[in-house]
Amino acid sequence: MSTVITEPAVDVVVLGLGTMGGLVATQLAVDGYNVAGIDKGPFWDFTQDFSQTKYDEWGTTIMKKYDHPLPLFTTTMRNYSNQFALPIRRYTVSQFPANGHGVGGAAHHYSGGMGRTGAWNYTEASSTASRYGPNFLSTTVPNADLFDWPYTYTEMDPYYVTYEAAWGMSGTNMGPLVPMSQNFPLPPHPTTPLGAAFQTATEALGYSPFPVVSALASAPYMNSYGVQVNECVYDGWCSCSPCYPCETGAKANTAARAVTAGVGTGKLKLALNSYIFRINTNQSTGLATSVSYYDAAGNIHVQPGTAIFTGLWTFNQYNLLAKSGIGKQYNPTTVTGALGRGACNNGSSGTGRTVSGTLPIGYANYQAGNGAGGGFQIYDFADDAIDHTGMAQPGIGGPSLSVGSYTGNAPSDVSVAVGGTVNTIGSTWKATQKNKYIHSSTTVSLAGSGVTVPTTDLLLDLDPFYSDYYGDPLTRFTETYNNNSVGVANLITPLLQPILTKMGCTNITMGAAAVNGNSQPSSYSIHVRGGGRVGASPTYSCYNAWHQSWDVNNVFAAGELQNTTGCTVTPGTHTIGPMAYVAVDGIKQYLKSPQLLTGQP
Amino acid sequence: MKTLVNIPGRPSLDIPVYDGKVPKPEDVTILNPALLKTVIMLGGALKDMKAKWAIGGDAGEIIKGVHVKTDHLEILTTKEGCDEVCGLLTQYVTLQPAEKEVKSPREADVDAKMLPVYIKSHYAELTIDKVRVEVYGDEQIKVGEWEWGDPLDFIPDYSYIVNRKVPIVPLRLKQELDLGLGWLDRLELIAIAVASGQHHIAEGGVRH
Repeated sequence: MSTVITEPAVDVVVLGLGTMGGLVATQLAVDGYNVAGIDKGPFWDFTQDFSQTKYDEWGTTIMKKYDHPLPLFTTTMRNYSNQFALPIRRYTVSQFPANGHGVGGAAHHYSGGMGRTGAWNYTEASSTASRYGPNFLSTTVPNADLFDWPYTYTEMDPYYVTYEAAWGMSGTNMGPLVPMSQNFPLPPHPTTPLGAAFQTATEALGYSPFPVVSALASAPYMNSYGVQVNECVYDGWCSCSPCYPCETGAKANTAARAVTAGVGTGKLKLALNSYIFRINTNQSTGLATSVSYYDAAGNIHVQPGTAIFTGLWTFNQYNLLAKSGIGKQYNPTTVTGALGRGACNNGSSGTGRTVSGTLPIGYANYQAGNGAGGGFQIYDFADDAIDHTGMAQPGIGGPSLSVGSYTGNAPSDVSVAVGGTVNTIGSTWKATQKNKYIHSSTTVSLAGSGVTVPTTDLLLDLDPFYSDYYGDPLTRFTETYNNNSVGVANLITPLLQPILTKMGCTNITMGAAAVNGNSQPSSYSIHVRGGGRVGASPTYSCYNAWHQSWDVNNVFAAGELQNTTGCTVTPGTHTIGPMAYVAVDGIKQYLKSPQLLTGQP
Repeated sequence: MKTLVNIPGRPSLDIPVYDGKVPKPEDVTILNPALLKTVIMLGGALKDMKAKWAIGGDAGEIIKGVHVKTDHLEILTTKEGCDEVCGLLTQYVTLQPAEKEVKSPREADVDAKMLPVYIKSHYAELTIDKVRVEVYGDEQIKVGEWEWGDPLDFIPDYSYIVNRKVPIVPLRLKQELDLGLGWLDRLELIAIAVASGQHHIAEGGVRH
């Protein structure tokens, strides 16, 4: 039997200390509230824990030693409801590097690519209906489950500013399509020759290029919590694909930016290496009372709190809410219930069409750099910037395009050993390796694509067959792509060819037209969005505009699970960071006046 | 090795526990909100100053990541700079610029001898939202009966403080002073901060 330990009650219990939970816990502690922060992993201290990372490419890249241990729990997946979902047993599915472990979460080893979500994404449903008519999507995505977010981009702008000051974002104003009331706090990273070529060409064509936005500090910084940040050393070991954490703390995450400031107040108590398995509720009051978790010794702790905030990663957060009975499970047959509803892959995933060409500028011309910087980007084809009227096959959204970022990788990433064949040994093979590591030219590819539209047949639920180490059911993800992106890809990609021509590319090749039905994913995007959405109504959303649960009013949540729709831009972190501060405002209001909140952020 | 989970009745899993260095309140290096706000304000108010200036003292070291604590700010500048600061921030001046000489509360440790340390400067004080700001113009240091040193001179480093680019006294100058005064504990703290921001190529990657 486990020993049960009841902890002293606090104002707010924060679940997970990654990007969401770390920011919320810190801000509330700084504001004077007593906070308990619980995380299943350790506190990663970059000065101690990451200095040998680059000497351990096997451990970092293959064994994922900074990631969630899959033997504890994983997720099952399938494309359609009539299939049997199978569990992910290895780190082959790209979502799992997004499942962080420890204070700072997955942001310890992301690339740090950022970029605000454009205004259109917050109003995809109403903007599409008003510009193209209410039935625009019906032939392509007949079961679309698309809703507006409960707040607008304009309402979120001050929260973006707050988040960017805490994170220490590097970049400059993102141009007319993404108006910003304040510029990013740090300047952009130095431009690569390839980035400069893209900038020059797109400017000449009348577009509005801006430097790639980065969460990697381009200069010495002190953030809004008074935490000092070292600047990037551009040594290459950075990109998210091999999962390198940063040895100088230049890569923004809550361990390196926030939680220490929270601890410094004396108001934030940490419980680490502790697995949260239930949010406990009182049936008569309808409120959450406490959180139960295991410590590493197997003891059960009960942490009471007036309010609960969960910032767990998408699948884990869904799992905890479902197990705890917070929210009504979605049923795709009756299209009722909101928990699990609207889950979909990241914005531009699915079928695309590519145009590519070659430039005699390679990685040989510039440093390895970091995971996100040096390139230039345009939003001129993103969201609804291009008129979608008259498409052969209607679709919505468009891509953000970037070219010329650093490689961001180690000089010699680990390759899995294979048996020697004519293709993997000998002088012919060696000759191919030379340009693999010292590129003298680059293939520049640009792709049109649309957003992934949430549909009524896709969902998260608890798997009835597979359970985790603790005996609880795994999260099951039913997900495929829809055909929305097909028409958009065929509309936009031909428009991108002049950019390559202007850049001076040779061998420009237009890829085959996108067609319906070939977009079933064999690998999923890192960023899964929705499943516990924020919205204006509890019929399709779990949380209101203050990120407060419609069902259990003292539970708050923020993260990609709360995204109402997929978005054009890839960087999920930049979309959800501001949500954390909306939730903070909501929690403070609730603590002052415990009730279902109304109004707008 | 400890494992991450040890749940009664469940199989033991070979998952290592990374204890890490869990921060305690006393370990945390941050610039407190009042000082932070004032540094940002100074960065804006003094951005067009003609004279060279920079945030120095312990606050300057905190901004560079050194684990020290302070309750006030210091500006290091020239004599003309001290007058210029007071001219630009007249409403906050609580002590008008004047020559001032003080004995440091800490002695120098030179060749195993403890010697008094004297500091003189063209000095002024401001109070901004209850934060004391000490302004040192052409600061000079003397140890024991030695000659006064030259006025401190430096090329500022720059840090971005939230949304403001602010000049900071370089740690190299602090290192030289600490070394000369025998304040090796301070030197060690600076060395740790400098190492935390460096790419590590030494064998094993160990910092300190």
